[in-house]
Amino acid sequence: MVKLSKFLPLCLCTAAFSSCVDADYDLRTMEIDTTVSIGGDNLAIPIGVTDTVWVASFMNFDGSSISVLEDGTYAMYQEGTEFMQMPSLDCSGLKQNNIYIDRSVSLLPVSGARQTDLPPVEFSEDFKFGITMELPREVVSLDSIEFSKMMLHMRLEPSYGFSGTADCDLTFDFGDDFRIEGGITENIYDYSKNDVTFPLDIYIPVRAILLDGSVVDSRFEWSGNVTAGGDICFRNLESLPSSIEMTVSLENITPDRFTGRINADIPVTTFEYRLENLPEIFTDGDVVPDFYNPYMQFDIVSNLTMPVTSFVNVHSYSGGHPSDMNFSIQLPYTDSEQESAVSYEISKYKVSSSPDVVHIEENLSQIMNPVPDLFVFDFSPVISSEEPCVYSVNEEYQAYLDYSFYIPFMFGKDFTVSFSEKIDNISSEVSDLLRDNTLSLYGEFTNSLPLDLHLVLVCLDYAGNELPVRSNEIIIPSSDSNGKESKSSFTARMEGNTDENISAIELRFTASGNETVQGLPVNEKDFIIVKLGARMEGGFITDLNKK
Amino acid sequence: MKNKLSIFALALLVMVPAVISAQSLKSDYFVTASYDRIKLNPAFAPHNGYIGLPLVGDLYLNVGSNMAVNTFLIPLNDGSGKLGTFMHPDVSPERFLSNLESQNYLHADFSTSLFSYGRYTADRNGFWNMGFSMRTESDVNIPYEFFDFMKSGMTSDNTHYSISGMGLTQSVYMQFSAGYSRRINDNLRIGANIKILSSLIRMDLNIDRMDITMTPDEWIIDTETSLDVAAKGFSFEKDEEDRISSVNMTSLPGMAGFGAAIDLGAEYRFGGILEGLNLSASITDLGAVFYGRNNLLYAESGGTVNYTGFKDMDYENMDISGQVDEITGLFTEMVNLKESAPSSGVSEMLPASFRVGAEYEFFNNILSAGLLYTGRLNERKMYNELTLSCNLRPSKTFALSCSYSFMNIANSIGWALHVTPPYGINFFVGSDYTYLKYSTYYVPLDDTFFNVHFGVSIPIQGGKMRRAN
Repeated sequence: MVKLSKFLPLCLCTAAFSSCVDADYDLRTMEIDTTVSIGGDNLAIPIGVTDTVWVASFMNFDGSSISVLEDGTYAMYQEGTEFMQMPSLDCSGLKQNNIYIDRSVSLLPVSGARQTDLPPVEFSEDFKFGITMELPREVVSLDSIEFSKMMLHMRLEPSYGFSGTADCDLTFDFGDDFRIEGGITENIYDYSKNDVTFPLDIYIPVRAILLDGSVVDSRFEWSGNVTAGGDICFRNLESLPSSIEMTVSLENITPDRFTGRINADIPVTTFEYRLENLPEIFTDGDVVPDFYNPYMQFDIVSNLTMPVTSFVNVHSYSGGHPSDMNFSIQLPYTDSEQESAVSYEISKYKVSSSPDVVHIEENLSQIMNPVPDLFVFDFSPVISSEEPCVYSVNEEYQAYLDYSFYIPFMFGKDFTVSFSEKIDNISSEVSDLLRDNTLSLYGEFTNSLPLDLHLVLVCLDYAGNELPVRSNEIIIPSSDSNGKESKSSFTARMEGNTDENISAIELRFTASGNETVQGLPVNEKDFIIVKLGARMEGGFITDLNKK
Repeated sequence: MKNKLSIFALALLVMVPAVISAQSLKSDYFVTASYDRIKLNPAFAPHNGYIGLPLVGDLYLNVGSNMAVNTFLIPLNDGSGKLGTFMHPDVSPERFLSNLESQNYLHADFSTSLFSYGRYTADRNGFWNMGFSMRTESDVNIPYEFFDFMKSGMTSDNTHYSISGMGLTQSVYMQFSAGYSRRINDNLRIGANIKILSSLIRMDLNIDRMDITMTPDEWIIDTETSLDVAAKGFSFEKDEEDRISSVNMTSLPGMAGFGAAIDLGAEYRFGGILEGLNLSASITDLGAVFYGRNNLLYAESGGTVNYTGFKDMDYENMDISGQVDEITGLFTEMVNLKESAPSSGVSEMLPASFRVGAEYEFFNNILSAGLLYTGRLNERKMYNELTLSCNLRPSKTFALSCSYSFMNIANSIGWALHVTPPYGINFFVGSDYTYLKYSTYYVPLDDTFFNVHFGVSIPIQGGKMRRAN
């Protein structure tokens, strides 16, 4: 029994502790795989909702030269004032005129008999005039020359010893060669007065001489004729003159302005609009800058008295490669030397609602692909050769151009820009997560931009190199045609494998226009909001031994 | 207060499976040389008197869980020959969860006798015993739904989990006991044992309810959490928002709860033609523990956390680690406990046990076979267990028992070995739960019921030693 008592427990212990070792759990040799999957096959984690991401931040407008118009629309914009040189002719030759004139006519030879009243002396005489002037060389032809002070002076002067008065009833017929001022009936000046004394001086203001246009060698020669006639009835004669001399002359014949054709070279006015510090979206990547309606406005004030057409050449340069656009505008002018103004808008679609703004339809977008870094505007004024020009001799012609050039962020259907946003400093935990798991991002985009957005997420290593882990393309629809924001669900599945550490995630956006929203402005109030969640297929898988 | 009581009750429920075998071996029930079996039936008396050595006189370690190692470590079928954790992606939720029950508990308790003493009266008909011991218990209960949540996670775009009854309990007791067993006649022996219980600390942390709803856009977590602490000389330290940040000791620790219990038992040894047949019965732990109001601390939190992600994220300067901290803070907010004053003290019934044993002795009492029924009743449920026992007593100094238990708790094989020479040192060692399937390093597989009971004592009255009858 003693032996049994010794061996029985031993047998029992041996049986208990040696016969039931499970070979599947040989902890001496087996390793434990510490890979764990957390969250289940359908793990979806709501990550959150972004703050309202304003377009300026989103498209990296901050710090750029982008302006905001009064209605909130983003635009590239420049305004300024330029002085435009206008024709200036050398009119010094006009003052060096030569005048030919029949100076005097003897009207009445008188006998020696003493008479108190004589019958009227009737007469009719022609006086011929001739003027020769040196003209500015730009004057091609002349239609008229205008004077402000020129006078036709006629003097009736009896011979010595005459005393008495006379009743005069005179007529001066200027024909078609003059244009006179006052007392005019069909260019005839009437002078009728009683009891005039002698000598009698009559001044008739002559405002213009009319020409046939011919100019030869910058010189014109003109001759005209004035017919003076009528009767003079002497009264109260104490002594009878032996004759009465009639003298006609032109005084103050310096011209003030002339009308004719002028062929003058006017200096070209040039100014620039340099597009500096543009957002990268317009300078990087494959940009199709289909600006919907860029426009220029010119407000021109001038004292021109002649029709001047300015040919406008707009040169755009992108990296030195030019594109050109030409159009013409008519500068404002009046008959007088008063200032006049005109406003032009050059655009594909008229922007201004003012009827005073003249719209010139030009598609400036054509010279903005690629986006220029420099605009050069050449204004080449040309005096109209079709219409007679009035040139004021003493006037200094000027024109001022207030210009503004707007490139509002309104895009056409072909507009495409690319830009990216980088989320840096990805923690090692997130790096592992992206590397070891198949991750899907899901959520909802709210987009008030009138642009479709295409987004791809790409993982980068520490050197910024692209790793073969990227998402499918997410398409975020634009706002609707009324500008109301769109809400769209999305799912982006991160696919690919890498052994590299992931340092950053780059969000690569492509924004494009479409037919529905083309022409809608990108406004400073435009935004995107992202409601984001992450789904990990098979759960969040990580190896605890790596920690 | 109702909540408090239910929380205590829940804690007791969690403890029950382990308490059944608490502090004494069922395998010892029919080992007549054992002085430890007095705890199972106070009518019993060992062969001789004893003085237990401090600390090792009655050393007991028990670990019980209905979760097994091979539930959580699973051989992978990927040809790697490795083990994977239950969270491994190659381990399907079905495979893992099929090994779990609705409530998954882990119980550990440890007790040691600081002093124990027993001796026969002069007429050898009575046996006195007394003891002073310390005991700690830890319980964790994790419901099936929590593991389902951990493993299955989000199974669809509208996944819901309702988790309740998850908790952690920790307690430390001191116990003084004194008992007396008396032979009434040649057949009958009765006994009683009185226990004085002193609870030094008891803490229950419970997540009473956690409803989790997960959709791609929103996670909703609705929780009710409570913390019960019964301790003297402690208080909660709170931050400026009245949230509990730590527990401070304000005075010397003392007795947080006081209780008393009585054990009663009887043994009848048949004579005549039925000689060799012994019947016995006992009821133990009839009593309660009372915790005074001043020694109770109670805190609770509750509310709904609605997580939809971060608001106003700065996507250009996304601080991912900061956002993770924010998530952590959000979930921490769910368990921000705030103190509530208990309105009165708490009485806690001890889970009473009933035992009925039948033994038949063979071969001049060298061998016996026994059948023991154990029933344990708590406020909610009756637990039953049957133990078949084979007992070998080849000499007065050696006894060996083997047992097999089945029914409610777990099917297990037990054993006990007693070496009881009349002089010198007596010792015993045994276990009620001997796992039969294990890995190398003897890590148990399939289930985790394990206890070991060990004791060293000095026999007294050895010269008058006799076989108990």
